[in-house]
Amino acid sequence: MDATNYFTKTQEILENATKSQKEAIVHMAKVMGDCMVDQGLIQLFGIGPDRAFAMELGYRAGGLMPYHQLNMKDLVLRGHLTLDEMSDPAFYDRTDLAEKLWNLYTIDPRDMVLIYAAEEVYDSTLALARIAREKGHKVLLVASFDAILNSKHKENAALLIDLTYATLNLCTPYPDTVLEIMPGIKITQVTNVVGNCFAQMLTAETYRYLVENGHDAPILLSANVTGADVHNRKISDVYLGRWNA
Amino acid sequence: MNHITMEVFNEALKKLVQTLQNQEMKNIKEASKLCYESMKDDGVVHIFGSGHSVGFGMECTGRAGSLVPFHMIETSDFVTKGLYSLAEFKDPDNIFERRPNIADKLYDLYDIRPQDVFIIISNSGINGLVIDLALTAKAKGHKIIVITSMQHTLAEPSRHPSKKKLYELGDVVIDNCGPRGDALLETGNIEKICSVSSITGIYIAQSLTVEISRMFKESGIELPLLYSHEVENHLEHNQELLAKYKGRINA
Repeated sequence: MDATNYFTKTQEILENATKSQKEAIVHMAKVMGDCMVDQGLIQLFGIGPDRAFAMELGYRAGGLMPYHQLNMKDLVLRGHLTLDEMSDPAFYDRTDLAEKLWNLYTIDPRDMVLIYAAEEVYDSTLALARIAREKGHKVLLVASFDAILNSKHKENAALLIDLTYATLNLCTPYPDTVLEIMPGIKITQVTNVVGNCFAQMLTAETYRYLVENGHDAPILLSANVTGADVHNRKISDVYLGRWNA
Repeated sequence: MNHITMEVFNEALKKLVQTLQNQEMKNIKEASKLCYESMKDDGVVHIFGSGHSVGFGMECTGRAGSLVPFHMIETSDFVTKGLYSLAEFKDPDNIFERRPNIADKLYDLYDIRPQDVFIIISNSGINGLVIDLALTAKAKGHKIIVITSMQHTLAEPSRHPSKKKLYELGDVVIDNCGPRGDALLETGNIEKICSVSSITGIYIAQSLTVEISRMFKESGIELPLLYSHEVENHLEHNQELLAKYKGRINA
């Protein structure tokens, strides 16, 4: 076995996932595009390593501007939690954190919430989705359904799916390990490749939807290209106080 | 105005991933060798990327099927470990990742041992923080693996006082094969759309895991791997491994 096996296996999984979710991607892009037209932000949430999807959409070079990340680490950075609390194995299941996190930001009634769950729907994730729904926001979900519906928190997953307005299934294996290095022992994961590719496909389709319907599509430039700062600040200032607040 | 769709993105991405596989496998294998040599001597591989490049470290650490001796360094550690205030960290007029002369403070935050290796990721490779961390680590005798976009880094001036760029400091350099500015598709306007460095970064990160694991297996040395719940006694195995590296990897 060598690294080329990883490329081959991942391409195969990605192609199947894309084929299976094409209509769902186009639909979710339309839902997000309508939110953006209404000057809403898409509030991105993923806990722990599930932050990956939020990072791929939020304030990203070549991405659309109207996203904001709900980041549990902000609770530490702003002094509401200690690092030790965040390192506690029970951290992800603390339901009190969802409200604390929500209250850190200025979330507008026009905003919607997009949740990424690669393998588990923790108690705090479900609590956040419930707050969003109670306050009248649409909740979108991108997840590996095989994983979340068979994981330790499978009851949470079923409850979360019931709350959602639209979903994308990453169609990745559970557990998320793809290459067998020794009998019964597997290495490497594929879920975040599919997740990040889906994020970029959503970007492409949301852009298409906005442009085809005559709207502006505010795209961020890489901050490491000369002159980008002025452009990026201009399109992000529209959301001042709501973005990165 | 160009026609942008998910299919257009997919086709462009497929070509890019093929280029990465064809062009960079030799460098990925050389980088894996450096990591393996360190890990077999109980070393840790420290991974640092600022901005979205932190995703590379997240991809390598903390999940079933991952190698344990990877440590992810985050710029937010400057705040959570009390070196800078949040206001200083988020100052829009003095962007943190561009600042030189502070990386030595970052290096000193961790338990870093002589046999440890660094992977430093920056799409542009021109900012103060990553270049300084590479300079600091190099001065302390560590091997450096750089992951960057050669197209981007060659097109932009360095922001570091030395005028060096990150790739110049790498013992091994892996080109992520992405375009300048990271976005892949021309829209017909000034902005391009759909970035790729996080995706190619995952392919590189996972390929390192495959190659390092293969080297462990071929040497007959036990693989420092987190097992999934399918493996018998996975909890005991994982706890024992994590305890071995406690204080040197992410909690």
